[in-house]
Amino acid sequence: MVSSVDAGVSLVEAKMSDCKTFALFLKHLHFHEDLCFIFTQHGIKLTTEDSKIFQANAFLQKELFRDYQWHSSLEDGQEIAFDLDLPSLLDAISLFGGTTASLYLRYLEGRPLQVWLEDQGVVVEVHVKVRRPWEPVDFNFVKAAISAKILFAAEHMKEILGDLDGLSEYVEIKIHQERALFQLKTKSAIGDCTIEIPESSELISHFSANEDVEMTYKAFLLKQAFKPVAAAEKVSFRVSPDGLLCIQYMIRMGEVKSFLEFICCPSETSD
Amino acid sequence: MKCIIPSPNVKVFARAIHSLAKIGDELYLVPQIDGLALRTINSSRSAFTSFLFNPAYFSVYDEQKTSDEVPNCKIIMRRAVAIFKSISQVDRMVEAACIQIDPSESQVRIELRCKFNVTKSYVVPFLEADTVKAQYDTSESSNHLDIDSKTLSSVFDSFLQNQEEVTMIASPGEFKLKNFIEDQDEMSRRHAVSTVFTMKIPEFQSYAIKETSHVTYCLKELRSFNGFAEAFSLPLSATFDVGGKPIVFALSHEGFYEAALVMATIDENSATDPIPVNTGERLLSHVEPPPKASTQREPKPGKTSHLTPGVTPILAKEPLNRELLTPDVMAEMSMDQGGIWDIEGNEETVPRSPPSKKARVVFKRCFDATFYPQNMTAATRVLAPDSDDDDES
Repeated sequence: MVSSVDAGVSLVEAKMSDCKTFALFLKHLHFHEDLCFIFTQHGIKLTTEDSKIFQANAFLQKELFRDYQWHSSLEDGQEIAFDLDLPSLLDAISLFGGTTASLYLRYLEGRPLQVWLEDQGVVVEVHVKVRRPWEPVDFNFVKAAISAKILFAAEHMKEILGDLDGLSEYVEIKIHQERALFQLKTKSAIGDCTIEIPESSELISHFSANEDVEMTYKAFLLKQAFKPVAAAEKVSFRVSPDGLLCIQYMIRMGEVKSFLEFICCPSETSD
Repeated sequence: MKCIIPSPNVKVFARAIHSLAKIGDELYLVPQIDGLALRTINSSRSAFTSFLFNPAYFSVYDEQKTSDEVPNCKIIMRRAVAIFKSISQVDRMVEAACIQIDPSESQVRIELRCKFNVTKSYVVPFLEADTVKAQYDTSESSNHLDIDSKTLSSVFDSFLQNQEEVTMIASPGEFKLKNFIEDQDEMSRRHAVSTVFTMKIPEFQSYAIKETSHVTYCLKELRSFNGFAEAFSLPLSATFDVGGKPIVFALSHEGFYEAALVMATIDENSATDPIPVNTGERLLSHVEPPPKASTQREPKPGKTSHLTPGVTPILAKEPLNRELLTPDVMAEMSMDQGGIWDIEGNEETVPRSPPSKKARVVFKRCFDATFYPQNMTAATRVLAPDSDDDDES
């Protein structure tokens, strides 16, 4: 299947039976063109960022792959990182359209990323140029203190999150500690809208708030962040004391759980 | 006014709004003793639709009239449609809808109580106040027919989706519906596709035609109105006269809600004009004398022209100092009266020559009651940068 004349040793090889998963993650990250692609021992991490105020991360664990080869010369904890053009990679993965083609990724030091797709005997080979990696912002969310954390069942959240007013520039998120209430508010020239979900709702499986949260975010960023809800099983909202919002989706692919998260900085409004 | 719509009825309300949205851009909410009316009028003022939801339709209907004033509640249609965006979602998720009209704050509050304890609240501000009411007297109309909405829908399928007007030829023995081709040059007329749909009397639920009439009206609005009727398997009734007089389509779900679509029709006598004109006359607003005639202020119960044939016209809300128009006066007025009804405002009811239909189509936005800059789809692409540069000294 390998037609490349590269005789070098590949540092990483990853085979996936179905490229749809990979394509799905890339699509949700496709709000910016530069993709930070990192191969690690444990899987692939993809990151995109917009002006340092909005970041999306996708983790594809190695269990998702039929075969994941990590070269023995690589040390523990070492990462192979590079930057590439996301639309090009997405085009390459989608070459067979919606069919379930199998995917084979191969990376050799200093060479373009090699991508093969195979569907019913037809093979496509794509080389995607890679560039020097850039450093994504480390929002330090994992270690940071959390003001509030809410876990939702994603199934019905799609209709709720998809209903946001299209004309509104900002979305306000309010979490009331005492009333145990989660609120999403939008304002526009044609009216105000408030969506309220109390802790008692079946949609919320976990609700904890150390203090009241009242933060405003740019609507078009949140809309991007709400898109994966249709594909997810669970979604969590976490807010830091600074107002950093982290929306994390758990997407189940068979037995394996993968994660997609969006980190959004708050905005200041003139209100 | 406060009212609550229980679960199975919310989707009817949502469908009514969708139907109204296909006709007009502004939604009038008029709380009355006999129910909540939703009304709209199309941009060329040739079609008026009104849905009346009776108090029995609601689980709570509290008119809360604090004064004699009927609140003028007009909101932008787009907002109403956005709130009830998806009929299937409304059906699945919404358990109750609470509507509160607050004249003191000039806003409408709509609260959707959904499954899983989720609440969606919307606050929509009023647009500048005016009212719109159609006045017509169906008791004098010579022709009436009732037809199943599904049958009518299949008739419409025979016409092109973008067909603007149709001509209905109802004679005692036969019914025909054909597409209306505007008087254009000979060449275009020869190449236009002509569709004629003929129906026999047994296909109607009732058919009482006293005199043959040719009536031409807009198909688009009727399609939308019939769409609502079809969704709930309701029959449609049509009451009409000759061309030039309005045609009224009505539906009702006994005791719960009823609706009417009043449309202007083209006067066949003026069909020889190069550009046909909408001359739906005899529907001028019957305006009030100054407020001291207080007994005439309120629309009297049972006298709304809403759906019952033979009912007297609704009295429009008063601006002051208008001449009281009696039916005799109206009959004397020229057939060229433009528009069916007047929108209250500061304009006078001076007969004016109606804008030509072509102009209405081409300059559609100029006939809109209001103009929203965000609706402009015209070029947002800047062809040349500003010549004034702030940085230049």
